[in-house]
Amino acid sequence: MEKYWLLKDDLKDFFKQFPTAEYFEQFDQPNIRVSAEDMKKVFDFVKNNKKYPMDMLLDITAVDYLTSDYAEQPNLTGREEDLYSETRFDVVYHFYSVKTNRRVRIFISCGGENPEVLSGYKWWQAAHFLEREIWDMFGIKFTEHPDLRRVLLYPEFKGFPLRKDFPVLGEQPRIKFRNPEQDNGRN
Amino acid sequence: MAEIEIPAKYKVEEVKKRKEILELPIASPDTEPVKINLGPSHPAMHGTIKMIAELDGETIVNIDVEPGFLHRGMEKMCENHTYVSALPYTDRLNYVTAFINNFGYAATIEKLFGIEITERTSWLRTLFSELSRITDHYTCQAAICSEIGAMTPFLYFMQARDYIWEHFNWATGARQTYSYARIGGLANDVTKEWLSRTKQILLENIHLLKDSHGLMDKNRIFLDRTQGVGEISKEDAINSGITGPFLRSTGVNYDVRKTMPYFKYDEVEWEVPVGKYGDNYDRWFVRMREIEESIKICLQCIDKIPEGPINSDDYNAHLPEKTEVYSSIEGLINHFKIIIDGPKPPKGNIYHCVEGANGELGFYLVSDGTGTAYRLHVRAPSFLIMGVLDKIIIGHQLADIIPIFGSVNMVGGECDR
Repeated sequence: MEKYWLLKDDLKDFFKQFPTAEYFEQFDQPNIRVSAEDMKKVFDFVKNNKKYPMDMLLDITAVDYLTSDYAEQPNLTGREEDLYSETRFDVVYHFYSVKTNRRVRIFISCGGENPEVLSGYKWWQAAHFLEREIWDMFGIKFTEHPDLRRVLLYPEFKGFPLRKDFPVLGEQPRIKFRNPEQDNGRN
Repeated sequence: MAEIEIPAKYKVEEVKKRKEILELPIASPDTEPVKINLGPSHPAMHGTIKMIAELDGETIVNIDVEPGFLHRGMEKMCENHTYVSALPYTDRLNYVTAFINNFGYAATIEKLFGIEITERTSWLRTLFSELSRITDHYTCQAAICSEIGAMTPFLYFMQARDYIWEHFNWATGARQTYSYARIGGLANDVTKEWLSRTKQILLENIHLLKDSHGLMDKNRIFLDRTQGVGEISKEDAINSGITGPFLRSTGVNYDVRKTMPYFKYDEVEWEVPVGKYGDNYDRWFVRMREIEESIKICLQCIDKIPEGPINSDDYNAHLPEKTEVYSSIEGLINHFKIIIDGPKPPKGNIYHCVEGANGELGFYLVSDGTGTAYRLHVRAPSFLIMGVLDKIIIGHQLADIIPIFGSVNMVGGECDR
C-alpha cells in the first residue's frame, strides 16, 4: 500500500527538535500534539524542513472537548469549572507537502478565559480565512492575525456557535440597521 | 521616391506618451476612493456573497469579500444527528455535485468503521462522481459565458447539464439533491438500460462541448476579458491553500484522484490537465479539458462495471435489506438500532478527502464512540479560494470582478456550510 501520511519513522527530525511532542496513531493517520510555546518553531520547521517541506496548509479547525470523555483529554464532563479549563480546545492543523505527497496532522491545545493561539498567517496565507472562521465559531483568538473578525456570521452575533455550551435551538437578539457612513459593515 | 511622412500623433514616442497618461497611478494623492457594494443580491455574485470594493476611477484599490449569506450551521447540525441521518446535509454542501459530497462523507465513515465496499459500488461511485463533476464544470462554464454576455454557449452548457440531471432523476429520483450514498453501499442499483443511455448522453455531450469550444476559444471578446485577468502564481496558489482546477490552472499537478487514489480512479486511464498562467482563460480551459477527461473516465467505467451486490455484508453501520427487516427479528432490531442510536464506531480522529469539483473536499471527523459525530468539519475548497480572492482582484478594473468571480466557481452552499 502506498503511503500518504508522515508516520513516526518519517518524523525523526521533528521529534529530535521537539522532544516534548506527543505522538499517537489512529486509523493509519498520525496525530502530533505540540505545546503552544513551541508554535513559532514548529511552523518554521514544518514549512522549511528539507525532507518534507509542507508548503500547503490544507485546513485548520478546532474541537471543543467540553462535554467529552475523550481518551486523550483529562476528564471534562461539562461542569461549570470545565468552561475555563486549560485544555478545553484543540486547534487542529492539516498540512500537505506538494512535492513529496505527504500529509501530517498537528494539534495544539488551548483554553482559559481567553483562548489564544499564534496565527500561521505569516507562513501560509491560507490561514487568513480559516483562522477567521475559528474565531467566528469557537472564539479562539489568533495573535498576530492581520484582520481577525467574524467571517461567516455577522458582527453583532452573540456567542460562538460551535462551542458545546452554545444551544442548538434559540434566537439571536434583533440588531439595528448599520450606518454605512460610519462602519460600512465592519466592526 | 520621397519618404512617406508619418503624422506626429502616430509616431511611436507619441503613442508611448499617451499610454503613460492612460496608465494612471493607483490612488492618486488628491482623490478619495469610492466604496461600492456588490451583492449579495446581484446575479453575478451568485446570490451568496457581498463584496465591498474601493475604487479609484475604475481600478479596484481594495476589496473586502464577505461570504456567509448561506451559512446554515451544517457542522453544528452534524454534531446532533446520527451518522446515518447526517448524510442528507452533505447534499447541500456543493449542491451541483451532491454525489461527490455524499460519497466523500460515506467513504469517511466507512474508513472509520473499516467497512470495505463492493466492486460494483466502487465502480458506480466513480461513475456518478465523474458525471457529477461534468455537471459542475458545465454550470461554472455556463455562468462565465452568460455573465460576460455570451448567451448561446450558456444555453448549450445548460442543455448538456440537464441531459445528465434528468438522467440522475431516473437513477435516484431527484435532479439535484440525491442522498444516494449509504454507509457501505448505495441507496439502489442502476439498470442496464440506464447505463446504455448514459453512454448515449455522453456522446451527445461531446457534440455540445465541441460547439462551445468553437464559439468561445478564439472569440476576441472572450479572450480580452479572460487572458491575463485574475492571474495568480504557482507559489501563491499553493501558499493560499487553493486546490482543484484553480490550482491546476497555475501549473501544479495536484489532483486527489491521482495523488491519493480512492474508489477506482487508479484502474482507469486518464490524465490531469494542467494550465500555465493561472488566469481566467487557463481556468476555463482546464475545466473544459477536465470535462473531456471525465467523459473518458465515465465511458471506461460503463464498460467495466461488474455485476454483483451493491451493499457490503457488514451490518455494523449500514441498514439491512428491507426483506430482512420485515421477515426476521435480527434484521428488525438491527434496523432500529441503527436508526435510533446510530452506528457505533471506534474512537479517534480521521481525515479523508475526495476531489470535489472545486478542489479537495475533506471531512475531518472526531468520534467519541457514540452514534453521533463529536465533531465533523468540512474542508470546503471554495472557502479557501474566497480567502485569496481579494488579492487576485486588487489592481484590476471593476468589470473584471465578474469574470474572475465566475471562473473561480464559488458555490455558496459549500463555502458557507
